[in-house]
Amino acid sequence: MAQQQQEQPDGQPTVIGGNCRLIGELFLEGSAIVHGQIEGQIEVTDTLEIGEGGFVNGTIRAGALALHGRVEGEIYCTDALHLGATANLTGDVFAASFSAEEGATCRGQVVIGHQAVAAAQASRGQSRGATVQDADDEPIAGRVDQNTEATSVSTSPTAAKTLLRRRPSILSGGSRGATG
Amino acid sequence: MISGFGRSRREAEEDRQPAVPRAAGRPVICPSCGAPFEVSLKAINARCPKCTKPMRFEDADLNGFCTQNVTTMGTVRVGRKGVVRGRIECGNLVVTGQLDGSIRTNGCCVVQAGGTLRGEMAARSMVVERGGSFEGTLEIGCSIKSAKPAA
Repeated sequence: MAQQQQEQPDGQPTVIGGNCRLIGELFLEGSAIVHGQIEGQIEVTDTLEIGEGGFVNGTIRAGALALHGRVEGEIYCTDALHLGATANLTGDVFAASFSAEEGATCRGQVVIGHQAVAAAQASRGQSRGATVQDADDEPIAGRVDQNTEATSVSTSPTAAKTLLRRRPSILSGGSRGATG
Repeated sequence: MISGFGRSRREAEEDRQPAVPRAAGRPVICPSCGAPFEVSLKAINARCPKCTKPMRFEDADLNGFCTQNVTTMGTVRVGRKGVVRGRIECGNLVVTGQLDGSIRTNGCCVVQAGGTLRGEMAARSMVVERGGSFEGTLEIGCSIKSAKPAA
């Protein structure tokens, strides 16, 4: 499992080249551009851009995401999600706003709006906690290949309502009040 | 450089012409067979030249409570006070109110701020503005041609 944390004080994005293949979890402070392949989780605090040759198989958590490559898995965006004309997305999406150009392909369960933002924030808190797992949650079948390390990808709920229901227990303190 | 100074009026008008010529008609893709063709901007209805399926191009503004199916190749607008439930097949869709149902858009779908869209959605392109919401199954670009037409 590769675990990496980089800080970019000068604001330059971290670039993962086209000849790079990462398997595991990747946490990046700031922005990032992916031209290679990632299997597992990637979390970027700011903007993530996936180039035409980029491929992510797993979970993406980012502030904003511009997708021009291929993604199979879940996407949690606290900001905008943009699909370019060459984008190919298969999986579940949670984002604050959404745009897809003509030519892009997308298939899956999508939640856009304030509920999705709450779900994305809860998911981010879940990934940071890394130990909060409920037995009731069902992992999304077929989302992780057998070749990928099972320990590197945590289970995720299938809908925003599930995440929202778990939100008080995920967020320590629960200052926003328990709902549902 | 001052445009039009020292040149003929015809040259100045030619410079003002856009690089891409304006489209003479409305580009349409048949929802039944997927054949692209073009109709006049004033056309109300037409038939696909390949499969001869009839289609209408009227625009529809839906305001208030509405539970009916809408089939048109024009633009469907769900107003701010619109609460629509049903099956919609259209060319373009603009949602400012609430829309629940099965939607198939052969063009672009825009959910503006304050708009809510729930259900199964198939479109060629889509925009959900900040303040708008969408929840459901989304298919962009992959099955527009192969999807079954609305009853």
